[in-house]
Order: sequence, then C-alpha cells, then structure tokens
Amino acid sequence: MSDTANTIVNLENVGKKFGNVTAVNDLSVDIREGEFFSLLGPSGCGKTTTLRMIAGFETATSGAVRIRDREMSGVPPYDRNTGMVFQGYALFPHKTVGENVGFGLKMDGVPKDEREEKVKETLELVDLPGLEDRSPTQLSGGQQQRVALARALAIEPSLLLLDEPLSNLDYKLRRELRFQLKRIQEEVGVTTIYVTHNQKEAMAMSDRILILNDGQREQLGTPKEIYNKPKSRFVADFIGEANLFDGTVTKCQNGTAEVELDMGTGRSLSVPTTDAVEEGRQVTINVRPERVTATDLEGILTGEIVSRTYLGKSTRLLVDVNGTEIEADISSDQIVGLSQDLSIGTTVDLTWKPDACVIVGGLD
Amino acid sequence: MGERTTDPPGETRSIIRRLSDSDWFRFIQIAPAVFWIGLFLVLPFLIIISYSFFESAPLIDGFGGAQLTLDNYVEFFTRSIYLSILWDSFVIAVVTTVITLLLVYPAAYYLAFSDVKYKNLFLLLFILPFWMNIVIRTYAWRQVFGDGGLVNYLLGFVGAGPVEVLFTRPVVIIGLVHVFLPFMLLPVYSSLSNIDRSQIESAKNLGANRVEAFMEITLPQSVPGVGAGVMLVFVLSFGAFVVPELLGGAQNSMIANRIASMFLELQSWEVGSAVAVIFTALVLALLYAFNRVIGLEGMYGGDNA
Ligand SMILES: Nc1ncnc2c1ncn2[C@@H]1O[C@H](COP(=O)(O)OP(=O)(O)O)[C@@H](O)[C@H]1O
Ligand SMILES: [Mg+2]
Repeated sequence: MSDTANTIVNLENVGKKFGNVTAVNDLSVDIREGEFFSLLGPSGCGKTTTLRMIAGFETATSGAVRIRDREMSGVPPYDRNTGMVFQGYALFPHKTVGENVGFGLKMDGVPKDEREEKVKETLELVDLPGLEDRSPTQLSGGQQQRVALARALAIEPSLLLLDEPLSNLDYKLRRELRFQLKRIQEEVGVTTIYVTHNQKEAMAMSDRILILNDGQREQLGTPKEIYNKPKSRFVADFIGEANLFDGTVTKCQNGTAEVELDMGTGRSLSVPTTDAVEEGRQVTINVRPERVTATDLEGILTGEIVSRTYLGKSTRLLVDVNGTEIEADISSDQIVGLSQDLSIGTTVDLTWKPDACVIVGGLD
Repeated sequence: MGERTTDPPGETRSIIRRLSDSDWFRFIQIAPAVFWIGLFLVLPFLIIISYSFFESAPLIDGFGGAQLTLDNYVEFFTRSIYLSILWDSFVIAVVTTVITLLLVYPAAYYLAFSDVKYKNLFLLLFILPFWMNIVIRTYAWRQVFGDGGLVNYLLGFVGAGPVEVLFTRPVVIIGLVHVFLPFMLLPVYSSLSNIDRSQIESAKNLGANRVEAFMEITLPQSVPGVGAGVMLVFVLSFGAFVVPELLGGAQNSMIANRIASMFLELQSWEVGSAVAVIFTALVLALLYAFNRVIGLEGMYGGDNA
C-alpha cells in the first residue's frame, strides 16, 4: 500500500509483457496529489505503456495499479476519471473544437448550456478563446495540442496524463508551450503525469522525475537530485552531458575520497563525499562538461584538443586524455583570459572545482 | 510527374520539361480517355435519346418514315407494365443495398479494428467475386437453387419440398448481394480503417463506453464510405442484367432485362429507348438527391476531415 497519505497513484511491482517483450518490469512508485510528475527515458523504455496502464488501456500482467487506494484491475478507462492527451492529440476531426472540448461533459450528461459555459472557460484557460466553431483540422499543431489539453481538462480529471504532448511541434513552439503547460497545470492544480524522452522538458517542468530504462526504474527524484546525484552511469549520461571516469578508491578521510583513475594516467582525483568509503572500492565519477575549465597553470588532466565547436555562450572542446575523450564547455569570458588560443591539435590543461566531481550512484 | 530515377542530360531534360509543361502535352495526356468516353458512352447514348423521340428507329427501320413524336413516352406512362417493373427493380435494388450494408459493416469493422493475422487474406476472399466471371458464377447458382438443385435435394431429406426456389425474387436478391458485395466492402473498410484508433481510446478516456464511442466517433466517420458503398451497390443492382436474367426468369426480370427484350425480341427500339432514357434520368436524379444528403467525397477516397 502507499506509504504517504497524499498518494494518488500507486504502482506496486507492476509488470507488463507483450508476448515475450517485457515493456514494464517490476515498477513501484507513488505519485503524490498535485505534483507534476515526469516519466523520462529513451524511446521504447515503457513510458507510454505505464501511462496506458494508469489510464486503463492496458492491463498489468503482474503487480497492482491503484488510484486513490482503489485497485484498478477491471476498471474500464471511462470509469477512471483521468484526462489523457495522446501523442498525436487524437482530436475528433468530424466535430468542432467546441464539441471536442465538450465531449467528456456530454458523456457525463452535463446539460448543453452548462457545457458550453465550461467549454468557453477551458478554451480561455488554454489561450484559445472563441475557437469553438472551428474544425480542429484548420488549426496549427500548437493550437491542436492546446485543444487536446482543454478537452482533457474540461472533465476536471483527478489525473492529467500527457504522452509526449510537445514532441510533434517545432523547437520554438515547444519551448513556448512548455511554459504555458506548466502555468496551466499550476493554475488548475491537477496531478499531472508527463511522459517525455526530452530531459530538458522534464527538468524544466517537473516536481519529481522517474527515469525509466528498459522498463525498469532507474532513479526517482527531484530534477536537482537527479542532475546532481545521478545514481547510475545511465542516468548521468541521459540527463545532460557527462564525463564519466572509472576508478578505485585509494584513501578516504575528512570527507574526501582519493580515487585513482583506471585510464592509466596514474592520476588521482579528490572527490568530496559525505559517506565513508572503504579502500579498494570501484567507483564511477562524473564531471559535467560545463564545470570543466581550461587553465594556464597545471591542470587536473592534460590532453590534446581534438575538436572545438562554437556554441555562442561557450565553446565545446573535445580533449583526448590518454585515449579517453573528455568534453569541456569553456565559457567565452574565460577564453579571453587564456594565454593559449585553444586551437585544434594543441595541448590544454583542464581543471575543475572539487565539488564538480560526483561519485555516480552514491556509495550505498 | 513521377520521380525519375536517372536524370536525362541537360539538353534533353529541358526539352522534356518544356514539353511536359505545355498545355498541348496535358491535352495529349487526357485525350485518349476523352475520346474513349465520347465514342462509346456519349455517342451511343445520343443515338438512344434520339430514337426515343421517333416513331421508328431511323438507323434500323430506315430514314424514310422517321417522324418526331412523344408517343414512346406516353406509352411508358400509360401501360402499367413499365412502371411496375421499374418499381420492382427499385425495391429489389433497395433491399439488396440494405442487406449488403448489414452484411458488410460488421465484417469491415472487424477487419479494420482487430489485429487479425490474416487480414489481407480475408479482404482477398471478400473481393474474390470480382475476379470470377459473373455468368459462370450465376449459372453455378442455378445448380444450387434449381428444381433438382442442392436446396431441393436437402429439403427432400427432411421430407419437405420440392419448392420453387429458382426464379423467385429472394434468389435474385441473394445473387445481387453476392455479386455486388465487394463494392460495399471496399469503401466501408477504407473509411473505417482511416479512423485513428487513439480517437476511440480518447473518447473512452473522456467517459464514453463502447457503444457511445462507436456512435460518436466511429459511425459518423464511416458515413462517407457507407454513402459511397450504398450508392455503388444501389446503382449497380438497379440496373442489373445478368443476375435477374439467369436467376429471375420471366416473372422476376428487372428493368434492364425488359429494355433488352424490347430491343432484341420485340424489335421495338423506339419504346425501349424511351424506357432507357427514363431509367437513366431517374438514376441520375436519385444520385443527385443522394449526393445532396450524404456527399460524394467518400467515393473518391476523400479523407475523413
Ligand atoms: N501493443 C504492443 N504490442 C507489442 N509490443 C508493444 C506494444 N506496445 C508497446 N510495446 C513494446 O513495449 C516496449 C515499450 O513501449 P512503449 O511503452 O511504447 O515505450 P515508450 O513510450 O517509452 O517509447 C517497446 O519495446 C514496444 O515495442
Ligand atoms: Mg511512447
């Protein structure tokens, strides 16, 4: 059973197999009332399947799906009071925008005038006032997306389920709608489960993120926790860029672990840690590219510049250190202060502040 | 123009382009079809129309006594035999269309929405009648329904019969349904399979049960396909010739058989032509009315938007 009083969705050891394909594997998670919760992971990792099990379109082959402590097996989609926005929106092309948005209310038997009032209100909420009589086929992608959202919100669902709602839109629109979606969600206060493979979207909007990999739970936490303390190589890699180093702990005292890198430089890194680590333990360390700087002094690592890409605010360097490629984002301000010009083929010293080093997966 | 796999060298290419862009070339493209229709549809029909206004058929009975008259039309409306056979044909066509639709819709729905493994095989089976000669098939039916046929043979086992099955109206309708079923199946299936399944899921998500989802989402979007199928089957069975000729006999012949016998047996080309013109005008009027109500778009594979 759920452990917190304000849990609205509880998945307990949920598994889903399609034939011999395991789409979701032994997944347990509690989703809290009112939160913006993201299911994040690469394509094919089981996000849509998880969402569809909550909506009632798929039945779990093992485990239990509960909404408000009620076990959902055998409860049809139309009795679950969830509002879902499908990936392709699934608007009804033969109905007007108003009829689309009012559809759920019609099914609930809400009288016509009351329905029209609610439709008007909901279209205003999503910034599409007065579009009731248009056909959805006449709308732009961004407008269709918001009609789909309005349709899901009009029934005042206890759960809003969004399956990659922004992925069919172009980059600029996606950024705009990201903020709008978040604003609407906060205004309505509805618990939202958001499926995406875009880590930036998940980071920007979510209260908590569940990272899935191959149908399994990889990590659950706030965006900050996940970014700063990835529990696995997979998470570190998937969330933003990463420089991952394998090494062995040689010493641990006063909150600092010395880690000798496997890459054969004989180099050791000092990694801050709150836990005691026993000597000889294998660990993976992550240093985010944006924390790496170039220096005129002796750096932590030294290597040859293989490529450089101008990114505007910074320049991305790919540096070969004894056969391992390391990414470094050098800010434009910093480049001005350097004596060398960071051209391809030259040697560069790289450094970072001690707290830029994080042991991946913690030490538990 | 289709995509070329290899581009011709520059000079030739520009000639080809100029040629294919010219109005003259466009005309060449559609000219054969226009010619074909003109020669084999418009011209013969003009001849039939003109016959219907003469006392005797000029091309057959000679131009000598050719007198313009409306008598042929008067004959049609004063002798009840023509009106009654036209009415019978209309009833047969309507019943055939309704039965075909009732048979086809569930099957098309099933094929469009379930992940049956042998979907294409099933579709092929439904369309198979297209490929078999209609005369051969219909003669085979006579073996089933004839006096010594399979039906009466089986009835004999249970001590019933023999009954007159062949040359009755139900047999004509059964035959027509069989022959024209693919013309209903294809458009209905096509309109159903164009419906995005997530629309139906979305309706359920918003509180619709299966029946409501069908009535609100699936049925309305299949209307263009149903309209096209209904129209095709109705027109084809209203003017059917082979099936009533072979299965209906003299008592249950239809309007096309009547027209043919007036041309060939009675040598009455003038009156036969008048009946043909009236029949054609009636069909066109019905199509027009139907189109006003339902819309023809579905027939040309228009989307469901
Ligand atoms: N209806 C289905 N039949 C068979 N396999 C499926 C079905 N739906 C999903 N899968 C498989 O389950 C896995 C997870 O799919 P999905 O949940 O759609 O992933 P995601 O949404 O994360 O991209 C994939 O390997 C996919 O091929
Ligand atoms: Mg998906």
